[in-house]
Amino acid sequence: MNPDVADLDVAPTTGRRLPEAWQLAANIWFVLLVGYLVVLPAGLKQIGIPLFALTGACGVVRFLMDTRESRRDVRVVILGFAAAGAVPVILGIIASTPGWRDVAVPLVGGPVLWYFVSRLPDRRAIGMIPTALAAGTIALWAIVMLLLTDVGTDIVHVLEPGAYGFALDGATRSNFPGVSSLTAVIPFLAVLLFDEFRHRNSLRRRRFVAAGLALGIVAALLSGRQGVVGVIALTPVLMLVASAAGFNRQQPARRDRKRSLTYAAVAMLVLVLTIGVATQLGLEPGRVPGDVLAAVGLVEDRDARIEGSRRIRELQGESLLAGWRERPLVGHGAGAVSPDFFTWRGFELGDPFTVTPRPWRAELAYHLLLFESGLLGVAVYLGATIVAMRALAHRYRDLGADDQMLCRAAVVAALALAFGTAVNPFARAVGHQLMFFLPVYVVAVTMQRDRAAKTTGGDEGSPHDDLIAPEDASADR
Amino acid sequence: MVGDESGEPLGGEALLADAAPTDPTDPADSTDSTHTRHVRRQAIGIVSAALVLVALAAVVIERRGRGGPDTFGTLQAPVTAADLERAELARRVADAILQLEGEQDSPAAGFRSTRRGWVFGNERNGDDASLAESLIDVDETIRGLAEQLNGGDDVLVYECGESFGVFVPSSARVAGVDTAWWADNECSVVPTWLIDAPRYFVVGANR
Repeated sequence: MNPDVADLDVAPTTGRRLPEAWQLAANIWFVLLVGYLVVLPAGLKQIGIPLFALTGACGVVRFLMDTRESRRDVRVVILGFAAAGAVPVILGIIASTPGWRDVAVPLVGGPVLWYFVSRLPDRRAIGMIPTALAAGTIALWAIVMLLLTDVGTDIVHVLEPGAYGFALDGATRSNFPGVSSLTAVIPFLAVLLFDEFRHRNSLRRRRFVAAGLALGIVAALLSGRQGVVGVIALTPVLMLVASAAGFNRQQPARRDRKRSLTYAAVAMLVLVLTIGVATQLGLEPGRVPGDVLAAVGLVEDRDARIEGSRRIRELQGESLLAGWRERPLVGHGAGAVSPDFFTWRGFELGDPFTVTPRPWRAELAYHLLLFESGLLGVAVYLGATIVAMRALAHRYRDLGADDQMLCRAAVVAALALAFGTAVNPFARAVGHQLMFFLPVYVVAVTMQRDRAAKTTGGDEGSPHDDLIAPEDASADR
Repeated sequence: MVGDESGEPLGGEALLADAAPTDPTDPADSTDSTHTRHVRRQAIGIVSAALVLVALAAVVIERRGRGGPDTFGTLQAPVTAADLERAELARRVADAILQLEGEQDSPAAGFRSTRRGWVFGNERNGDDASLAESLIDVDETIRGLAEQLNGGDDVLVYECGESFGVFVPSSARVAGVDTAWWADNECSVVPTWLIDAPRYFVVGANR
């Protein structure tokens, strides 16, 4: 490898690079952050606030070290969402809504934070994302098991006092904030493994990632979170959507019968073990297919416990749409409180309505956006999304095979999160937003390398070979 | 950058498994090895310091978060006759609700039969029955007071625990016992957003 190119790997063009130790620390910090956000994407604010503040501050310092570093695509894509979020917030300021400050944090502050954080990781940290996500998922599975077996509830309560788990009528239910992360993380890991198998791409720590996927699916099913399970079940559809949007340009590798049989055998073994453990915990395996179909809306739900939260969502939806019809073009502004919505007993779901009253929040994020900013806000968000997808698809074509795998997985994960946001306000949690911007991170690091090679006129070779591990490709198999 | 100079593939490498020299007996490699260890130690030190910073900040936030809830109800505006009438209306509404709750066969009313909500109606709040009519059946003076106050449409019954507060726009001074009860029970501050100051309220539990 041309040493000039290697030198420019961190700070590509004209700028100053971080000292080695600081860059290594930034990478470690970023990987830890990714793992942490799988487990606790929201909640435990006493840790979340300083964590984001420190990470953001480091990103700002990195940005100031080299303001000339040109990453226009990243700026446009990530800050485009901040600009879109500013629309309802400005409308809220104009209308003097009580909650505009609270809403401005995730809608505007979140993307700005993730823009600066994008300056921290280099290629090695991006390559570690699957491992970090798998590690977080395994930790999450352990937490769900601690709750359901009731052997470690007290330990989990240190992280989340309201966490619980129980089995009743052949179904299990576990409440922990991190379960929501599985909405995006499981599709991410599933796409990685699928592409690795189908296209023979290189994936480091494949077994660990596979274990993360298997245990993550178990955790999602045992949690009883229908919104999460439903989106996960839609992963194949989302993969097709991503392909149709231009995120699939690789030809399938030739089929390997022996390898396929090994995969099938391992999958069966995992399934049998899962059923055994789940049965011990009180889950009736026969219920699972019906519950999964109910989660995606194909059959009627039989669980009365879920009916309550569904009814609340219906009430919220009706109220938000009624409010939107009053001001269809510009809505009521971010942080607005409908006279009959949120203010009465019966609309509450979660502590935002009881412990910390924030009656401008709702479960149905897209309904809420319509209520807050009307057709104007929705149109601006749609525009930002189209710009982002086009920019990503354009860059995707230039990526190497393994970078494409990572990018495609990140795109499917972001799509899954966008789907899940319809019934859970993921997009309004700063911690969840990282999964929306992960595709941009993947592309951004590759852009650094591409530009560096072009700038130096050096050995471009495969700008993506960092993600290929030729001598280790078989080590983990 | 650590590891890159060796030309090793780095994408999936452990972050710490960087450009370790292959031959420790080689003096040049030994220098590299020392340098690499130094870099790692520095990086781990930086990350550790950052973790300590986050932990300290968490402790500070945790301690500050233990302060009492927002309190409200200390009103300074001049008190007019209308303010006193609105306060009287709030007290009568509170008494009437308590009376309704004490009766076994009292009608379900208010927002979703909870006997909470805007007393004088909001067509979109899903009332099973009119809260105002139920209350007027108990205390006829409520009708007169409401008519005197242009319909009295700003009377809000808001739940807190097993009890409730009745809120009205008025500069009448709130009883200390009611303010203390609302604060001690960590009741919601939502009514303060719904009814602009000056506001008066009375707590059902203290009647």
